[in-house]
This record gives sequence, C-alpha cells and structure tokens, in this order.
Amino acid sequence: MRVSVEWTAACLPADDRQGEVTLDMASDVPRWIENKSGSIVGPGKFATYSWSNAVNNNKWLLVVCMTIVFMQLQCLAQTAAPLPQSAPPAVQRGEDTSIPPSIALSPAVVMARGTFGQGLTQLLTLSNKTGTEFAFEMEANDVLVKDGKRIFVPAGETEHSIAATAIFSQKLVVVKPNSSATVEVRITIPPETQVRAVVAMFKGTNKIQTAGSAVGMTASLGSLITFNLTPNIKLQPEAVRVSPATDTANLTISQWIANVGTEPVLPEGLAAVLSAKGALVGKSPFESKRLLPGERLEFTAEYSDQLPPGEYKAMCSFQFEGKTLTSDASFKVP
Amino acid sequence: MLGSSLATGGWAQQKRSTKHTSTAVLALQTKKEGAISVAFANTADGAALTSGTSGQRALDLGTVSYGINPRVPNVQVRHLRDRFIVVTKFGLSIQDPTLHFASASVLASLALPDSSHVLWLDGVRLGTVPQVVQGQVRIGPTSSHRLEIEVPTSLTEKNAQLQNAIIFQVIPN
Repeated sequence: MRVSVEWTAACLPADDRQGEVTLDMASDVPRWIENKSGSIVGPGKFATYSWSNAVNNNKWLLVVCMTIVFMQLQCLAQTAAPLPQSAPPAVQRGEDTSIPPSIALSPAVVMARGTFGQGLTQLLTLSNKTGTEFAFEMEANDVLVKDGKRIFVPAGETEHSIAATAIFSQKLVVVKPNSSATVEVRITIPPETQVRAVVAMFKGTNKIQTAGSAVGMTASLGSLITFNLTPNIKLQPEAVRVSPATDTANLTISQWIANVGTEPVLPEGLAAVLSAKGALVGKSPFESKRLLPGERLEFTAEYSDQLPPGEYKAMCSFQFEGKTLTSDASFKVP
Repeated sequence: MLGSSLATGGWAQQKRSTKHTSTAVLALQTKKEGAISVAFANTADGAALTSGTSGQRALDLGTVSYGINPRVPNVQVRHLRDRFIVVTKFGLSIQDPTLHFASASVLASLALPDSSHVLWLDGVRLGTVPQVVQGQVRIGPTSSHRLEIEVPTSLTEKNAQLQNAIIFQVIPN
C-alpha cells in the first residue's frame, strides 16, 4: 500500500520548503519510495538517503520536523493502529493516482557465473501499471564496450554473439492494463566468445496515435544479463580526488576505475575520512556501479558531515570477487 | 539430462527440466537483482504530456509554424534561414524500488523513418535504429530530456505534420 504525502517545512531553505513523497506503508514502518518534487536537505543522492533513513528509523520525525498534510489519512491510521484484516485498504497498489503510470521489469539484472558452453533459463516478468494495453516484441542484444562506453548490438552482428543463442518462449507479448506477463528466455554461451553481457528486451510495438501537433512516446525495458566465465578479473584504479564542501554541495571523494580484465565486476566501495593522526572521522559508501570489460567509470561518495579545519586523508576501498583495492589521498580543510 | 540444485551465497544453480535431443547443457549459476520501472513525467520547463486517444503518452507541442510563435507553454522555436527548430523538454522517471542500481542506459529511436523532419534528443539525432542518448541516467530523480525537431520551410502545412513517435529503451547498468 502506498500513501502520498505533501509536506512543507518552514525550517528548510526556501527552495526546499515543500514537495511530495510517496511512502510504502506495507512494511512495519513507512518506507520512502520516491520524491515527487522538491528535495529534503539538499541536492544529491545522499540527501535522498538521509530522508529515507529518517523515515525508516522514526516516522514521527516527519511530524516533528514538518507540517504534513496526509492525503490518505486512512492509510496512516492503518499503519499506526492496524485495522482488522477484513477492512478494505484505502489505496490498492496500482490505483494510486499520485504515482505516474509505469511499466516495470523484474529481475532487472541477472548475474550468471560458469564457463563456456553452459546455459541459463530465466523468467522475466513485465508489469503494466498503466491503463493501456502494451504489446512487446522480445529481442536480445549483445552488450559491448567501445571507447569506454557501452553499445548495444543486435543479435548475430557480433562474432560469437551470445544474444544470437537467445530463445524466448514467446516472441510477441501483450500485457493488459494493470497486469503482468512472464516470458522465459534460454541462453547458451558459445564455446568461445568475448561477449560478457546481453540485454533481453521487451521492445514496445504499440501503434501510437497522435495528433499532428504531438509527439508520441513509448517505453521499452530490458533486463541486463552478465556472464562471469573466467578468473581474469582485474580493476585499474586512478588517483583519488577530493572536492571540498561548498554552500550547496557536500564534500565528495571520487575515483575513476577501469575494468582491464575480461569479466564483469560489481565493486562495493567505501570512502573513509581519517584525521592527520589516522583516526577514523567518518565514512560514506560509493555508489555501486557495474563495470563491464573495457569500461571505465567514476565512483563518487558524498560526505555530508562538516569537517573542522585540518589535514585529512581520504581512503577508498573497493571489494570485488574476494579482492580488495585500496588507495588514498590527503586533503586539507581550510 | 543433467540437473542439480545448489545454493551458495545467493547463487542458485538452476534446474533444467526441458527436453533436448542434443547434448545436455549445464546450467550457469545465477543471481537475480531488483526491478526497474519507467514512466514519462511532466517537467516544470517542458511541454505538457497528454494521454492521447489511445492512452499513450504524447508530448503536446501545439501548432507551430515559421511565422507563428508557439501557443503552448514551454515550447520554443528557433528560426533559421531554411528551417525552424521546435524545442521543448520532458521528464523520464526511472525507478528501482529495491535500490540495487544507481543508473540506467537510455536508448531512443523513431518508430517510423521520417524524411521530412529531423529529431534530436539530448543532442543525438534519432533514426529508426536505437541509439544511446544517455548512458548514465541516475535512477530515482526524474531526468530532464531536451527534444528538438527540425522542420524545413519547404514543407507544406499538410506534410509538415509530425506522424511519428519516439521509442525509448531503458536498461539498468
């Protein structure tokens, strides 16, 4: 169950004073889903997490900090004091008009591990949370990296294409309004290939009727399927960079990392701020990003606490496939 | 047919139950993550999204011509000697309720070939083959995208009408 909350907060800067969020009321405590407009404490994802955590930890924080207009009071009442099970929910999932109509795909990512010649069978479910019937054509593309960036190549156009082996249980799928459809895909890894990822795509084929003055738009969704086939896993880090905090932005610690091995890697990273004496001052996680072979991406962590003037060291640590990559850089807060 | 079921650290060995006449294929271990959703959204500085007669989302640009300024809010026109360019913005909301992904790739293409108009999305010229328009769209906040439509002045009122659509492809990174 979801509830929309419009909020205002006189204690916040003018630009951040009001907005709208959607909360998931199904769990024991309300869980933040999306910020429809405005921001809570400042720009960036870190601020988003701060809001999320505040809601997760204590829903009453909302009441203390802000004047809230609850659009669905019945939902709130149900969370605070659960209603008998027979009571109909005030808002059914998928009927909340505050959430824009969308289509959703699950799983979004499949990470496969094995060796050449092996295969996988995977179910993919597309949910249509709109009032319109959607038609899709199933399609597989190889994902390659060219000049450091991903490109999506139609099945069979790459040597030893994995996408070319994809067999879908249905080629055409029609998903009725507010329902879902599941398709099975079977993929076999060729005996030899440098491809390590494919996309199984629900490609929209709806005929879009528009007036001459309008541009129709429709969306397709794809699941990314990656393959780890050899032990050749290697990341190449570059220098750690620290950008000081400003009036409008947190301190950021960033590092470019290139995947120079042959396998996909999903590093989990943490940035630690140490004092001149080596004591831990604080830490912040890096955004998780997948690196396909040949790909080079910048990993960034935001540190929201204010650091007193002094000398510090930023230590970056990334863990992947049982390995750890560590590097550091010194910086000064004037 | 060989089949096994192992589970180690979240990696599950899949069972194969389908019948094959050829050599058996061993199953890869797989780990599945998350869900991804996409929706079009209005932006403060963009043209209005309408549902249209078929319930599809459409970006209403109103009637625009070389000599008449747009009557729809947040639609701009740039005049060049032999053509004019209609410019507006719209939003794309990509969500991952499971918070597994930080970004997604967004590809776009035209539904039909268009020899009359030239459409640009975020600076990428659109054709019928999907192209990456943004490789690292942040998941969560609504991303703003700039649409430009070039209309040659040689077109008549009748054939200047845009009878096309943009197909977006969203893939988690």
